[in-house]
Amino acid sequence: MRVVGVFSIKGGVGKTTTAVNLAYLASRSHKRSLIWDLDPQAASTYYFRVKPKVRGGIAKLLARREVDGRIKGTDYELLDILPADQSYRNLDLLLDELEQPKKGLAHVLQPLASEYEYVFLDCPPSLSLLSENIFRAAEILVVPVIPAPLSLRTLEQLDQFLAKSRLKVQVMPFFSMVDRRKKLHLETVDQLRKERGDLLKAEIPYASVVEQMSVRRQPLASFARWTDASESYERLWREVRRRLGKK
Amino acid sequence: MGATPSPRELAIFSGLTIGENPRAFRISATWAQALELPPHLRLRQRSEAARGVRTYLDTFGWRLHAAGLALVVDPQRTRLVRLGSGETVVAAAALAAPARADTLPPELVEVACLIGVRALLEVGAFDRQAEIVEVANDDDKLVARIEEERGDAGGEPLPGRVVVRPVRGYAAEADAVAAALADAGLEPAAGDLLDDVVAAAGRHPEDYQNKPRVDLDPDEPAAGGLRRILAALLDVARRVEDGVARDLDPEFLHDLRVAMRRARSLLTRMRGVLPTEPAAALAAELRWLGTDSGALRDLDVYLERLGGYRAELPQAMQADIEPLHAYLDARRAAALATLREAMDSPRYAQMMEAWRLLAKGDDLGQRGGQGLSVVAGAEIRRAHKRLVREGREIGPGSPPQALHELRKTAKKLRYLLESFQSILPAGALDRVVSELKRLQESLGLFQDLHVQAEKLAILARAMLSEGYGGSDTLLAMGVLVGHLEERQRDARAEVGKRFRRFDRKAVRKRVRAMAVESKS
Repeated sequence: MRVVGVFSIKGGVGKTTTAVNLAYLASRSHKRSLIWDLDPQAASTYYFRVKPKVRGGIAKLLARREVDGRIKGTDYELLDILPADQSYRNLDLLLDELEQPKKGLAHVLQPLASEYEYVFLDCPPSLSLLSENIFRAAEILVVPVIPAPLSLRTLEQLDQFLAKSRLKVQVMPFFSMVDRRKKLHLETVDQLRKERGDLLKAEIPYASVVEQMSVRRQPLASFARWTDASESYERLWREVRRRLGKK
Repeated sequence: MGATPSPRELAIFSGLTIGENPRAFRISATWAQALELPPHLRLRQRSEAARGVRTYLDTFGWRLHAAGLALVVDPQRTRLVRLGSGETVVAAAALAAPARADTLPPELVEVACLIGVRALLEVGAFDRQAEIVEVANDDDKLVARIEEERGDAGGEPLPGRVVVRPVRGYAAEADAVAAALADAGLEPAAGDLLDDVVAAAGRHPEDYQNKPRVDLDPDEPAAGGLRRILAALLDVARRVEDGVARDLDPEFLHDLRVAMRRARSLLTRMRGVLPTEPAAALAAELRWLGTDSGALRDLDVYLERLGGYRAELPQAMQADIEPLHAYLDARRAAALATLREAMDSPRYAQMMEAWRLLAKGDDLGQRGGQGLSVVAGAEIRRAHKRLVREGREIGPGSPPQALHELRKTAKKLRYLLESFQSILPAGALDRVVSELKRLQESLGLFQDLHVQAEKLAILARAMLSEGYGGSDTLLAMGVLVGHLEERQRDARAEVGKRFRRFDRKAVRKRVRAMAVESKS
């Protein structure tokens, strides 16, 4: 089981669309995959048309009660979802009450290790106890970055936090919602590519078809496979997979 | 080779659940019109049609089926599915049979563990046409699939079926769909389509066991019981011959040899139960084929071990052992040709015919009219006594040959116990067999190490004279022989320990109980 966190401190950068599309592409390459929607806004749960409800709430899950029975199959073969739930709003508080507050998520995932090849964590924007859990549970963090100052700043904050806490999780930032008509975007992309060697090559364009996802409630590749945006996600997935390498 | 987990263990470690409710029905032309779903569910327009040859793969002995799984190969991909629910456990690219564990893609690691040394063979195939209709809820979320499946195997149409495939987490909805289908007048269909496909190929799932269990009656005449065991063993031999000749899987030869050895052992142990002359003649012929097939079996075992040998050598020497591989391959091809020739010969055909006639006839030997349990009990006691006597005679100075003989005697006792298991008291049998098995394992290991060391030395000389490999290879083989001899010493100590456990009063008492109880 390879756990991929799709993470950003900032909101609105395309985390959920990334998590949904990567999970879908993973399942399409014959790998049984799970997406865990950790955001109480339940956006990825919504994309997959699943009710945002987990029996017993997150408290029961953290108490390690049978995660198996709370997973839902999506419309796509080999792709399942652990949906979000209202109770996720209290996730930080509940984690704090655990004996090992920083390992709560990892413990929930443990029994699924032999079942799923990939687990994608769709994370809410913040830097909190939940984030620390994510950094421990995930092997890599795929970080969408809008090529604009505010987004860059949060990427630096993440770097600093990880450096300080000496966590081993590998960060893979990539440019998201790139608008090639905007001079600022182009300049930022060029500038940052010179500065950071860890940036993934794939870039996700700003495209209306991506917004369509929330209307169609489907992953891009299932309704707009031959679009530029969809192909960008495929490139992104190939790159992530290559960087992950063999275990 | 490491120990292979049992299907059950594997199912546990891989987190698979076994046996979900099948929701299958016999097809009717009008099911879609008659179907009335509950108000929160509806059939979705989007449906999918599939056409193509579907093949089922399993080992000859149905290891996947026994674990509640089936390996389904469609033109584009392979899926490991759960029997019953039809849920896909894992998918991979399309496979071609025969396939062995080491050639399987990494996604199918569970399959590789389950099949162990066996090959995946085609157990059935059919030309499939399927239509999948999706069932969605109020949110237009897929909650179940209804699959209408038709097909024909070998030109014969298969009974079509309508199957509800649940989506994980939506069992209640799948149940509701199944209930609605039943209300629409559809008849439940038992089993999986796999059953029908396999039946069309003239088989049925789990129809082959290399150790046949024959239900016997303790009071029946000994000749009748023995004949039925011989018939079951003949059946095993007949089923695997083709696999041996086509060289599909080395395990076919192994099973053939075991069936023949069991038959021969019973004929000799139970002398006087069947007419003496044909029984002795058949035993002699079985011995002939046993010897003639031994070379191939040895080479199969060697080739399987080669990976382990390589790993035992220091890194720098590992490549030196390669000429041994080439040499063994060449020898194996020759041994296979020899065996094929033997199995094509009139002598082989006559032997099999003699086997059939002996299993079918009704003449009795002088002991043939005695009760089966009396004869079996006496033979078990006798074999046990001999094993104990031989074992006690073995000391630190005994030659390896003495241990080899002990191993053969132990095998004979085991064959008797297993052949007559249905008329022996289960508790005593289990206990004796488990102690015997442990003893046999230790004897097997010793023998194996001894023979390997000896054979490697012989092989080295033969390779030298036939021009395979140079002095580096010989040196590497010498290192291996050294390792083997060292391990042999440990194995020998283990045999002593296990024999002492076997030679306890508690075990002897149970053997006696078996003989007495099977008499009554």
